Amino acid sequence: MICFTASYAVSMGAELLRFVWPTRLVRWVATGAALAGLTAHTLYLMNRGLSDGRLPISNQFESLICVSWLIALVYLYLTIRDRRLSAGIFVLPVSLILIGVATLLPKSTAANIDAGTSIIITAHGLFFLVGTVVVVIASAVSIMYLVKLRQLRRGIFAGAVRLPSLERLDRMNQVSIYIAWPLLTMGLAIGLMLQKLRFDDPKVVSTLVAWLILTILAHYRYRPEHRGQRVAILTIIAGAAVLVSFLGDPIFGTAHFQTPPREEARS
Amino acid sequence: MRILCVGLNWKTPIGVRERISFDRDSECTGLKRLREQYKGGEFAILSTCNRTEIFAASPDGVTIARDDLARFVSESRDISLDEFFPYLYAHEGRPAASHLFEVAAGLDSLVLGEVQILGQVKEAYQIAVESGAAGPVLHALFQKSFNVAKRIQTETGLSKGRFSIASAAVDYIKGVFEVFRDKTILIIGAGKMAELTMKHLAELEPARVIVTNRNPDRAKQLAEKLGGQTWDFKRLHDALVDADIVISSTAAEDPIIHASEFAQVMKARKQRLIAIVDIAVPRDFDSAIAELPNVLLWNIDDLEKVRNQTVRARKSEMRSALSIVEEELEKFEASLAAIKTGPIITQLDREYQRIIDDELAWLFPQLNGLPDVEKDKIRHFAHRIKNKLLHTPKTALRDHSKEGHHTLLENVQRLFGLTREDDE
Repeated sequence: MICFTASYAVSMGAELLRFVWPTRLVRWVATGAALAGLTAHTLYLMNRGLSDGRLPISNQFESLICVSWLIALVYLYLTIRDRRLSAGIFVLPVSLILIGVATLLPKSTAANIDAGTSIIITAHGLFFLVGTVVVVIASAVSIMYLVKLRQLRRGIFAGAVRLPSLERLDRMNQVSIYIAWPLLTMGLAIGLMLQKLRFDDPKVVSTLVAWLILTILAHYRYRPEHRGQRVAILTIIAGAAVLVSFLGDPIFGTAHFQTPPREEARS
Repeated sequence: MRILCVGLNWKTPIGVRERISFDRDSECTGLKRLREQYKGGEFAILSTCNRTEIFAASPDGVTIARDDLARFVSESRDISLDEFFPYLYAHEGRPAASHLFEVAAGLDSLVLGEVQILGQVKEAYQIAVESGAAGPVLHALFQKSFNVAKRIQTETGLSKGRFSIASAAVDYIKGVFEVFRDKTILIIGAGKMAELTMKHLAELEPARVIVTNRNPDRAKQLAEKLGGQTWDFKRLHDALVDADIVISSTAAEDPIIHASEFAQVMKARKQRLIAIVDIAVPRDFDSAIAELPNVLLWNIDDLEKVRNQTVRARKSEMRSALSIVEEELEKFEASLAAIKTGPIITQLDREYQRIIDDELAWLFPQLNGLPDVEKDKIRHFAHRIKNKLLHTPKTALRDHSKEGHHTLLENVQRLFGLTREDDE
């Protein structure tokens, strides 16, 4: 864990250094460190998954590590696609924060659940996990949108922070929202099926709130008159809500991950 | 060989610059005349709207002075010396090489870091080559100047940023939109500025160009030039609803579009993103329009900001650029020394090898029956002695030449009875 955290930190540092020293070397250091970190991160997750014979998303710790891995993967993809893009300063901090939070959590896995229920629980977790990553990316893209808008309004065309055009950022946001909403909806529906929908669980309530905000956002996006700055701000709010719900257990002091489905609890 | 540069640049009054400039034909004629006048000399004439410079490399024994070249310019361009002599500068040796490197990289240009000059330097070199006026020294000098310019362009930010309205407008619009094949550009006004800006925007290949103007005839003329269509000025609001990019440059005294009107336009266009480049003075679009959501309004004041940013950024890159020039000057001087000492060293080596071959040809028949392996050993032994004997003189020649002294070269030629290859 130290290995990939340090690599992402180096990558992040190099991305920040590009503000004052925008050379090819610094760019390569940023990409190289992220690639090294992602390799170590992948090996770590593979090791955990293979040793237990399951996907490494069965507790809050693993979920956070998985989300941070996906975010780093997206960062690397964006950077390789457009080497001059300053995506790292918007994306890598989230990855690092999630790893930081994960280190404070217990690494133990949930109690044994029968195979059939386990697949459904895994699907429930997986939909939420990927959906969360996509919303986080949409939020990062929205922050980029606001920065780019500010740059253009101030007449900065080629600043140290190099970002795509407003139109492209808006489209990236749109695609992300349209991918994230069905994923989170599916996650929520499976949760409902598992009868995990307990209104006394703050994680459940916060997830419902986040899903509602995302639903409003998806609807908002659908209407042509709602776009640009307002959508960007709403996406950032939705991103924050989804992150809060995802980090529910450590924030609210609950144990949603450890709670078995209601039927199982009864038995 | 001695490198000399005589010329004048953009600091000279335009009237003088115009009279002194050479076109392609007069450059060729001038180069021919210079070659006839100074046998063995190498020449190149760089003449642009902002500078006229003559680069010369004079062989040993031939003196080409600043006054000689000034007289040549005076006679060629039919202008009296007094008119341009006060503006004339001359660089000799290392400063001359350094000057060409700086010129090629745009460090001596009116617009610091401009890249067009590199093309003009290349053209001047091409003409010199075609006229047979460029020799080994100018070949090395110009080739190196291209490398220096390229290094400075890629390793520093000296050529980054925009100076003109049109090019800055293109950058601005590229920051707003990604795809242009589905975009409509609306041009309000049919002045020169709008035309120039649109010519730059044409590289984006928009789907549609609409021109509107109070005078429909002028709008029609411009639309025909740009391959666009005209629009009735009275229906400007409808055009604004359709357009994605607006270029405005009317001569109106007051804003032609106010914020309240534009808010209605935005409502009609369902808040679709719009980029407006208002290059009119006074402004055509009320500045409050910039506050509306999804509107990107850019006016002439913003251009000034861009220009200032570019100047500041480029100035901050000067030190890095000059250090590249210094670094490349060292390499150039080393290569120049090699050009000068190379033939002498080769000759010296060849002379020693000839002596060895003669002596071995005398020796081997006397050592009858000596196996070939042993003969090779003797050859190798002689070769080693030759290399060891020549090592110190060769190094001294190279070092001495790098420092710009050539007396040792002449002495070595005399001492070892070497003749110049060009004499041969």
